[in-house]
Formats: sequence, structure tokens, C-alpha cells
Amino acid sequence: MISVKNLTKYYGEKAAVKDLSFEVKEGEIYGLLGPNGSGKTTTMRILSGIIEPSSGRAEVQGLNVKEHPVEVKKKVGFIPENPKTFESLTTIELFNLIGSIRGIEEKKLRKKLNRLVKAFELEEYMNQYVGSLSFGTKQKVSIISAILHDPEVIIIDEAMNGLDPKMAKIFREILFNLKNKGKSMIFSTHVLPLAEMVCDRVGMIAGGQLITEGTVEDLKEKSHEKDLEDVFLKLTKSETEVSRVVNALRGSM
Amino acid sequence: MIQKKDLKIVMVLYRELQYRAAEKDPSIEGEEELKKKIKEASNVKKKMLKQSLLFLPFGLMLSTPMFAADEEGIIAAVMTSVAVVPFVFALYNTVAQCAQLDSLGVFEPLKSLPIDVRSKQLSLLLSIDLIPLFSFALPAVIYLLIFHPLNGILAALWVLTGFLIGHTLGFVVYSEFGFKLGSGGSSDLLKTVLKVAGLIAFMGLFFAWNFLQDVLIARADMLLRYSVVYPLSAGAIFDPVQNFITLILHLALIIPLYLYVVNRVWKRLLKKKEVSIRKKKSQYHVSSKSAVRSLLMKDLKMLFRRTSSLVGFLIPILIILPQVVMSVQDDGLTLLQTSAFIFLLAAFGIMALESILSVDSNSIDFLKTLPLKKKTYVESKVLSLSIIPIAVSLVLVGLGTYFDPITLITIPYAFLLPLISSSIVLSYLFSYEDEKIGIPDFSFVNDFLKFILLMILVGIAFGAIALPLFTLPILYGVPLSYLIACLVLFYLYLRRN
Repeated sequence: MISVKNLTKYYGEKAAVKDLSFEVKEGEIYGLLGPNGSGKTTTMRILSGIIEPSSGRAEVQGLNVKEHPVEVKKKVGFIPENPKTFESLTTIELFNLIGSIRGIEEKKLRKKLNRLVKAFELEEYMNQYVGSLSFGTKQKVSIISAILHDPEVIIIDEAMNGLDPKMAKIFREILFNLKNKGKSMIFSTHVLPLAEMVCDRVGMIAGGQLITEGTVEDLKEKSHEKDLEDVFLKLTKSETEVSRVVNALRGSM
Repeated sequence: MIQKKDLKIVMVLYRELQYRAAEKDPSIEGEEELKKKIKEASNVKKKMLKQSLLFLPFGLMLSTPMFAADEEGIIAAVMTSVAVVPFVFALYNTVAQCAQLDSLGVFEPLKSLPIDVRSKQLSLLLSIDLIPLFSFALPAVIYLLIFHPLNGILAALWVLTGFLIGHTLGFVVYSEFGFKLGSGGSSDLLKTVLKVAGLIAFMGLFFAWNFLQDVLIARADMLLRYSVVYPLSAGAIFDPVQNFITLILHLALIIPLYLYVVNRVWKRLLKKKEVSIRKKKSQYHVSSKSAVRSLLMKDLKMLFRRTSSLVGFLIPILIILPQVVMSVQDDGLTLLQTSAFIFLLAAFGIMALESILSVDSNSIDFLKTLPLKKKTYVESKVLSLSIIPIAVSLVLVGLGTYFDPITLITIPYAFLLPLISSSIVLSYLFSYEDEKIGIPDFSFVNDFLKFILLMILVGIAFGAIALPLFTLPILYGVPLSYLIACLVLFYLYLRRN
């Protein structure tokens, strides 16, 4: 379970996240949607225990992320947008390293890896250097790295960008499977149809603040729009901006 | 020719380098502190002046014997040691900076722009940190220019040549060992051992030449005792004609090599990294060890796969190598000599700090997502920093034991001293209050005062350990010395916890 109350994060004088509050229940997939620079990644990184909030409270499985970042990391699996890791380790060496740091028993690690590696079709890449893998394959490695320890909470920051349709579908199935096991998930994406497909509830943020939240159906109903993209544009007040830019481009191209 | 536009690009790249390093430093709190640090670091002129003034007192210290006794023999000795400094630092800094430039990808944003980015910008970029090192030699050179003008000009030229040799050899090392990762196959260990042996041989080449010259040429009375190889040739400035010819010969060799290798490094920096891919499918092996052990193994794998990162470890070996060779040549190694070399090796072993820290420079964000305590991370780094000095110290003990079997009792030093020096420097660098892990922004050239402070701290600890060894009879001195070493190590361990 994730609980965020009045969360604020300043970078210098600029507030990346301001007074943000929401909750993600057990077995729920919560989508965090927002335009570029709206504070999604900052929120995700705070919830993963990577950065500290300036004020407010963020709890993961009842643990305050500011006070117990290491304990929080034990319970969280974080999948970043750009997987950056040890490029001169082979894939299996990387998984072994993660297994050791996370204290996963060797037998369990082997069993889990066998299943995941097969699911993501990574067998032939296990003895190759991570640096030699394509972006999509690195993304798969990053996904496995994050769920290897059977985390209670999974935080996914635009992580499906590099996956091909087949792998994206497999990943979605894995997410649903984890959800059925009672795992909480927070999911940020720009691909709104994907959010519509995957998320139980969504929260929209702009300028670091939550502007609305609810189920996709609720939001559509409230804003009298047919799909999530229109809801998103309306609520983030991007509709008029989009028309203005499109018109300007028409004139200049 | 260097144009204004080149300098502008170099300044942007330098600022970018400073930003990327500072961004990963966990001791820098908040945006304001980061901005301040970048602003300071990016004022290149002020920074170079500050660095130059910082190195000047050390240059004065090195040159003092020359001022005290204006004798040719002393001037030659001082000039030789003064000439080693720019050479060693230029070599080390070139390799370390190339590795940093490569891993941080600072040239990436320029690739798509219509800018003529060439290798000269690479040398210019690296020279920002190298030029202040001239201060080490400045007092000696100025003294000679005033009192022995002709010899002074030669001395200045030798110091500049030393820079160029170190810089060029740094490029050679990086271009040969820095870009390609090994295949990860079973023959990798052998290849790595051979590569490391090759690197040591390569870096010890000058001493080997001098040794050959002593043994073969001098005994054959062909050239008497005139030194033709850098850095010893820098001390031979009182034979101006021969010395000038030697200088020209050095430049004739090194300039074409520099032009060739700078372009080679530049082209490879712009190219995508070469990574070997194993075509053969094989079974993978799953294993789970302790976190510290796994992090240590990770560091070692990464270091040995990019052999150029080992240069930091080779500098201390390079420092003690000629003295070890000379001792072996004389009467063989004694117990005290072996102990002294182990102390020196452990103290200068901290020069590999940059290599050990930079191993994680690209992956620190990933490590931050793992439940890793600062203590665990620091412990793994202490072991990573100690392991090569421990191995080399054991070789020294073996060598010493061959000449004097009692030297075998120095084995505990081989383990304790590198662990102590590594613990001191890493405890210092990770002494910030926060529990988060990161990569402290540290470079020997840019943080020279910090480096001296660390050497003093290591010196104090080693002084306390060495005192009973060198003042009491072996029977009492050695056990007492080990007891103190164990206590120091235990204290450092407790401090981390």
C-alpha cells in the first residue's frame, strides 16, 4: 500500500511536486498521468526511496520513505524510464548481483529467473554484456531486475516505451498477475490507451499538483469526454494550447 | 590552429564534465550547493590559477635541495624527481579523464550538431587540469633560468616534454585498453593477467631502459654515465649539447606518436563502444553471495574488463618499482626494506581511489534503487581498493622471503596496511551524515589538498604502526606493530558502523 500526504519536493526554488496527496490500495494499479515536467518521475523516485521529499509524508507498506529508505527499497521494485546499469557485467552477473544485494536465496533466485527469463525471451542474452543489448532488451532486464525479489509495491516510470507489442502484452499479463497476488502498483505513462487498459484508478498531475483522480470511467463521465486523452487534455488545460500550436504550425509549415 | 570557437566548445564540455561528476556526489546538498560548485568549477582561469598556487609550495619543497646547494649532482637529482611529477600525473590524468569522458558520454550532444569537433579539443579539454601541474616544476625551472639560463631553458623544455610523454602514453594506454570489453570467455583471466603485466612492463619501460643502460652501456664505457632516457635525462642538463640532442630525439619519437594516438582515441570516443558478444549459447550460472562480496566481485570484474581502469593501481607499483629493482640488484631485500615497500605501496595505493569510485559512475542511479546501506557499499569499496595492493604486497613478501626467510613474518602487513589506508580514505570521503550512497566527487589533480590531507592521515596511522617495527628489536617490534595495526583497523571498522 502507498500513502502520499501533502508531499512537496523543491529543486532549488522550483517546486517539482507540491502538496500532493493520494493513496494506492493493495492489489490496485494506480496510473499517474501528467504532461512532461509535471512531477511524475520525482514522485516515483521519492516513493522508491531514491530521493527525499522536502516536506510532507510518503509511506510505502506503512514505512516512511524519508526515515526508512533502505527498508522501503526492500519492499519496492522500481522500473525506470531509462534503464542505466552496469554495462560491463553480463546479464546473469547483473541478476546475481541484485540477488545478493536483495538477499534472495539461491534456489529461489534460480527458480524465479528461469521463469522470467523464459517469459521475456532473454535466454540467449544471459551471458552477454548489458552494454551490448538493445534498448528494448535492456528494458526487459530492468523489469526482471525490479520484480526478482517479489516486491510488495511496484513502481513503473514510463517503462513500457521500449517493449515491442508482444513483450508489452506479456508485461501487462505479469502486472495483472501481480495485482491478483495483492501487489500495489503505481504506473506513469504518456500512452493514455495503455493507462486506460491497465489502471484501476488514475491521478492526473500538472505543475506538481494533483488535479483529479478516480477510475477512468468516472473521469470520462465527470468531464463529458469520450476517451482518456480528451479528459487529459481538458483537465491539464492543454486543449486550447494544442489548438493554438497546431494552427501556428499550419501557418508556418 | 586553436580558434575561439574551439575554446568555447572546450569550456562547455568542461562545465558538463564538472556538472555530471558533481551531480552524483552525495555530499552536495541541494540545487544551490550544486550550482555554486559548478560555478566555481567552471571558472577555468580562476580554477587553474588556484590549482597552480596550490601546487607551488610542493614544487618549492621538491626544489629546496637545489636552492640549498648549487651543485650539479644535486640539481640533476632534483630535476629528475621534479620531472617525474608531471609525467606521472599527466599519464594518470589522461587515462582517468578519457575514461570519464567515455563513460559520461559528454561528446554525445555534439555529434548531431554541425560543429567541427576534432581531437585538438580533446587535448585542450584534458590540459585544463594538467597545466597547473607545471607549478611543481616552476621553482626549480625559475631558479635554473636565473642562475644557469641555458640549463634552465633545457629544464623547462624537459618538463614540457614530460607532460607530452605522460599525456601521449596515457592516450596509448586508453586506446589500447580502454575501449574494448573482453569476451567474457574462459581465456579472459589469462588475457587480463597478460594485459596487466604488459601495462606494468610498458609503464616501467623507462626504468628498464635505464637499467639496461647502466648494465650494458655504462659498463662498456660507451657513453659513460650520461642518461639518455626520460626522466633521468632531465637531470643531465649540464651536458647541454648531448642533452639537447636527446631532447630532440624524444620529441621526434613522441610528437608523431601523439598525433597518431590522439586521433585514434578521438575517433574511438566518437564511435559506439565496442562490446564483445558471445555467439555461443551457454548455460548461465545463478549464484547468491553476501552483498559486500558481490559488490567486490562486480568491481573487480569491471576493472579487469576495462584494463585502463587499472592504471590507478599501477601508479604505486611504478613508484616503488625502481627502488625494489635497485634493492634486489644490491644485496637483495631485507625484512625492513620489504616492510617499507609494503608501507609505501599501501599509502600510494589510495591513488586508485578515482578508478574504484568511477566504476559505478554510470550505474549509481540503479544502485540507489537497491536496498543498499552506505556501510555495505563503503565496505565493498574498501575491499576493492585494497585487493590489488594486497596481491602486490604478497608478491613483495615472497620476493623478500627468497632473500631472507624471516621476511615471511611481514605477511600480516600485506593485508592490514592496504585495508587501513583504504578504510581511512573511504571513511573520510563517505563521512557525510546522510545514509544515501553516491560517488564523492574526487580527483587527485583537482582535489590535491584533500589528497595531501588523506596522505597525512594515512601517514599518521602508518607512523604509529611503523614506529615499533623500526625502533624496537624484531621480537618485540613486529608483534607490537601488528597489535597497533589491528587496533587502528578495528577503530576504523567501528567508525563505519
